[in-house]
Amino acid sequence: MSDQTIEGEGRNREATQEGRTPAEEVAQSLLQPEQVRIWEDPFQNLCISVDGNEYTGVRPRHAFPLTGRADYVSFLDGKDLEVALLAHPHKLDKASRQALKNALERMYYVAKITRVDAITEKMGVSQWEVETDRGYASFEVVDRNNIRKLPRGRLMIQDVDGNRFEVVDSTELDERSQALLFRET
Amino acid sequence: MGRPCLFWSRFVGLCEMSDTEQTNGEYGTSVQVRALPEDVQDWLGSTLDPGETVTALLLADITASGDFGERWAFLTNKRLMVFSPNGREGEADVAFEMSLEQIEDAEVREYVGSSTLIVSSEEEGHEVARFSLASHHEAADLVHCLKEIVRERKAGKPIDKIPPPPPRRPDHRCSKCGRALGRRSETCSYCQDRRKILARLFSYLMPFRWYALLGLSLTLLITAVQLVPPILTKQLVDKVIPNRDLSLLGVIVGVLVGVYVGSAVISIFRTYIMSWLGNKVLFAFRVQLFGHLQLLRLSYYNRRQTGRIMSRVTGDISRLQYFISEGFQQILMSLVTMVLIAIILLVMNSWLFLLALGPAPIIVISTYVFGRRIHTLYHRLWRRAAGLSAILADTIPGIRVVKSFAQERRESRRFSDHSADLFTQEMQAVKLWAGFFPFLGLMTGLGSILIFSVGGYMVIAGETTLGTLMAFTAYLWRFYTPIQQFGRINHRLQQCLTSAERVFEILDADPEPLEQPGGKVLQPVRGKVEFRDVRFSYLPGKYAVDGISFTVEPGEMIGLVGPSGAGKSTTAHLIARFYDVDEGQILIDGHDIRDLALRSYREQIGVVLQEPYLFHGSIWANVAYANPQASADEIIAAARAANAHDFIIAMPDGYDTVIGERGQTLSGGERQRISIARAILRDPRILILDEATASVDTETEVLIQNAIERLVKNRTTFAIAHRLSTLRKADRLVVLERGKLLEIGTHEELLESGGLYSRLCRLQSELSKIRAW
Repeated sequence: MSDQTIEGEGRNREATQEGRTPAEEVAQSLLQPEQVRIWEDPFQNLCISVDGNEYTGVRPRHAFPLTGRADYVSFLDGKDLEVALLAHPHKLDKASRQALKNALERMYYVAKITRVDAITEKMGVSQWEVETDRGYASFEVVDRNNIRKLPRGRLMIQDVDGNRFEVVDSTELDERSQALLFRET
Repeated sequence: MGRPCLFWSRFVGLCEMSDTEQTNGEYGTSVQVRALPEDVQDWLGSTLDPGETVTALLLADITASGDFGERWAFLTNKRLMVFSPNGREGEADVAFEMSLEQIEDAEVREYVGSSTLIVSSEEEGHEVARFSLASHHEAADLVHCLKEIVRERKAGKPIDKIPPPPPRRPDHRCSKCGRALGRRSETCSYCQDRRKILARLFSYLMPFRWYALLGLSLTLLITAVQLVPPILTKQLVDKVIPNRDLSLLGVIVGVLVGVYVGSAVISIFRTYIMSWLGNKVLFAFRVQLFGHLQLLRLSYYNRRQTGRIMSRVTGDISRLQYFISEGFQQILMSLVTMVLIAIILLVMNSWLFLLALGPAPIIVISTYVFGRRIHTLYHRLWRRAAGLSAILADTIPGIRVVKSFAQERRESRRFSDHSADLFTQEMQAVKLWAGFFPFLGLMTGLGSILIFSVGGYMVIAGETTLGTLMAFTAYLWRFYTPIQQFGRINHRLQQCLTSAERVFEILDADPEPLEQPGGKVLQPVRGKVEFRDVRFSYLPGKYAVDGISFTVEPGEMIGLVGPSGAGKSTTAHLIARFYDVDEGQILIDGHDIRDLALRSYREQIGVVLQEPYLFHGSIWANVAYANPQASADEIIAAARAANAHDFIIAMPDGYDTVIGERGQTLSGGERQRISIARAILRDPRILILDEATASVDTETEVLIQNAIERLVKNRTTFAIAHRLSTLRKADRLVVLERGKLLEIGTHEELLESGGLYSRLCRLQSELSKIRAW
């Protein structure tokens, strides 16, 4: 019984002067699609206007790029400071949505592997030959820590230069590909 | 079209390109042309104007639509252009073109997993190329050139001759072939000339060649001697027993005793000599390597992790020792044994020998295949085990956090999940090797059964003797063992060569010109320091110090101020000549710093770092590091001046207190004061204080401040500090931002001018009010 009282007090103490918890504060600060307009200027800079305030040369970032826990997009200025955190970007007006979609596609360039043809290792460097949704690719992986295992058979692979490749679900691939991947994970 | 994984030497040739004297033909140099794929050469050849030369190039491997593809961007002395193959064989379109006059700005935008090159004119920006991170260095070089062009043009200079930056090769790729390097390796296993390395390795044996030869002959002798007993068995069975020849029995027993005693004695000598040899070579290697590491430039260390370098001095060298003293001998022994036995068997009975060879290929191949398979599984296993210890290393030191959040059960579950995984993997490996060795036994067993049955028939038919058969089978067992080893010899040789290559890579790296002949010796340095338009970059395209000029008089104290990344530390490091400038000059007392004798110059420089590094040893030894002959009085005087004497003398062991594991109990401020005492004792002419008071509390800062005030007297001092209060005694302040000199002047002058410094001052005085409160 006493435990619960203490916990209850803790929660109350977290609340700010307006009586909101920090999580509620974040929810409040989230921009709704109506407040936001996004476009690209002639210098290929992404611009965002938030309630009439304009920012030029911002960079969009998914808050949860791998797990997609929540569909939030953050906008950073040239000094990596957040100027806006946007919820539900899919509800933006059509032009803004397109501009954001293009910008996000630029930001996260990850080819999805659809078939593994060969993984050959020589002196600690494995050479991968794969078919992806972007075309055929051949890349080198050093150190298996660069192969990140995620739940549900998902793999994120970083090559020696830092380029990224994804296996959406390794159990969905053909058997040969799976056997090749088995050795690497 | 696929993503081109180019093994063409994309890094070759760019270095030679700027050298116009080497230019031949219409474009670039012959080296560069050879480095490009043929069709790209053709496009280039048909597009370039006469007199147009290529300065930089970029392979863009992502098309505008985001698919993998191939585009080529070329920067010439007239324009920037991009070729894009148009689908027809050997043809390409010019996808983008812009003359140098129009270009106003260029940048590489870095994204996650790719980058783009944006070039802007006055009205608009163009996405010229998209590329994966493999082309990052090329793009950085290209942008560097473009920015230089814009700068030169704005300064009114002609822009048709822009030298490309010195090529910086990505250190994770081989500089010759462009292939990725292994995780702990800086040398390419494709490009190494194995015979050369082997020869170089054996050159370390040369001083001990007589011992090596002796060891080798003993090895051969012991191998030969060990082959004697079966022959004696044959005599025993064929001659002694049927003839009841007691005298011959005596002889044979005598010889057998001799053989066994002899081989024991030889073995003792052999082991001793080979171990002595291995350790001797190891000793020479280690000492040479460490000595060389001390002389290497700081930039060598910047690009490499300490752990990697250390693993070479320890791990790679002991692998070499093993190879020199044991591995090489074993290979040789196996070979000799095999050949000798083969000859003996062939002479004894060539038919039986051919039969016996039957299982040999199976043994070699299966050992090889097994080796590869088990290697894969063991690697998997090893990764799981590493994951398990990672959990341990995570949770045991973090046990307070685990307990305070009451997550014990979750951590246990995490550990048990990983353990279960490890168990599964372990059992898979067990399945493999549990099956393999019996299989091998079966194969050799089958071999001898074959010999027994055919040989037995031959004995009964009177074609051969029983003794021959017995000797034959005895030899056969010894024959199969070295055969098994052949499946692995290549692998082990490979490992050894890689280790050797890594060690040689360090030995081949350029040392600092500490003792360069003809260097001017300034004794003493007066301390006038002049920067003349100094530029320096760690990475191409990003100057850490960008065109800085100022003059400091002897004895002045200069505060270096600016936000992080402004180039303060780099400036200080340039003064100590930890690096050489890319452009411009640094003059010490009117002499170019590069003309000074480095050792005598460094001896007159003192550096106090933010994180004082104290060596394992007594406080005494640490204070006297630069001058081990210092007298007790000198050391105490230095410690007093550094405000360190009081706390040192209060310790039970006083100046003899050992700073080591227990030295961690010294506080940051105490360590800092010892390092200041060390600098004071050295009595440098130029002093560099790099954030010397950043990591201590206010009270200690005052103590350190006082110590520093005594230290800076009569010397040229450069002090870097975030806390501007540290710099209140500075004669002048140099304000840096993004590598550029923003302001220079006294505290009052800068406050009045209302620039960055006055803004920083205001901010900090507000902060300190809060702290005081």
